[in-house]
Amino acid sequence: MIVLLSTVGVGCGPYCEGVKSEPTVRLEVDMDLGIERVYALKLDKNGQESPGEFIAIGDYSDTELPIDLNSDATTYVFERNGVTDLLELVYTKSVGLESKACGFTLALEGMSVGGRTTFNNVIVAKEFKTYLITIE
Amino acid sequence: MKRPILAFVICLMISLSGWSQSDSTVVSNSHFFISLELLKPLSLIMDGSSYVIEPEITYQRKKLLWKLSAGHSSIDKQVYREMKYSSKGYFIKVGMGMELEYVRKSSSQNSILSGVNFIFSSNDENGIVDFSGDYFGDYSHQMKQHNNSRGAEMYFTHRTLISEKVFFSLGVRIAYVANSHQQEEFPVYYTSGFGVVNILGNQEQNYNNQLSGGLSIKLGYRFKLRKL
Repeated sequence: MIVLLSTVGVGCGPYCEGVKSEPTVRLEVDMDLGIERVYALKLDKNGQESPGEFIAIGDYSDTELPIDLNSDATTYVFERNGVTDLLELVYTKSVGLESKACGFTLALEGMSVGGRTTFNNVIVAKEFKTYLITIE
Repeated sequence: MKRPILAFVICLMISLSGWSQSDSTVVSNSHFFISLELLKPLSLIMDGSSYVIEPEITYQRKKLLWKLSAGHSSIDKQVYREMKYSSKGYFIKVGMGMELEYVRKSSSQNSILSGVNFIFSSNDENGIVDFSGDYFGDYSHQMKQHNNSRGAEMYFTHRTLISEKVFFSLGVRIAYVANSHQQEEFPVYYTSGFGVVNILGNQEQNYNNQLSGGLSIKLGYRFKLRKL
């Protein structure tokens, strides 16, 4: 019965290229870097930055980083062994009416590494609806 | 689009000249009719959101009609699933028509009118779509676009004189936006003077159908002119 409901649930939803809420990008970090905590910098209305909540780091350092839609760049802070590193992701937003079933959806385009980044080797790759960020 | 309209107008004029010459039962030579559309401002009274003000003046000489109307539209509603939509615009309609027949020839209280109006309009469309955000908070995406539209409408109206000078009319119309109004932000939803323009077509892929139509209920006043 559980299997049947699961199958029906997967089949009913419309296929949409874009997302309908705050998007995330997938992060893979080399375990040897020993990342302990990650958080993003939030911008207030005056453009002042403040640290956001800690972002859960998944198994094998597989982490979902939220994207700030109120800005064209999001900066993340990585803490490890008393060292702080920054990762800045720059992007553009594209909003459009995808279909009657999907309504308006959002897609991120042209994501790249920003100038505030302190990591030496960051790879940004498009992956289906989102991006894969690899820090080596 | 221009050629069919031109052909229709020529045919209409030829028909009108024939009607005018052959009909000897015309009660009065000429009248002015001023009227106001009642159906379109109704939602303003109901919920205060959307309305169209469309005053119209018609000059009728024998069976020939000349129409002029200028109006303002303000639409505020949710469309395309989740978009908060608003539109404001102005339009002018200029047209001609004919009185097709008297339903009751003895009293001439009822008449059926048909004709074509050319429509010129300008309207701004605004849309807001909200995206919820758990980490950074919600994001509102705002879109704006402007439409300059021209086209035509064809109408059939049943007009009833409810007193010597007051009349009531019920009509149907079909309108077509002749120029292309494809927009990048979102498909045009409402065009001033024409109406909702995405009622037909494949709405899965293209909402930008240029056809519109609707009903109209008008209340008006007739000026019975003396011979010039």
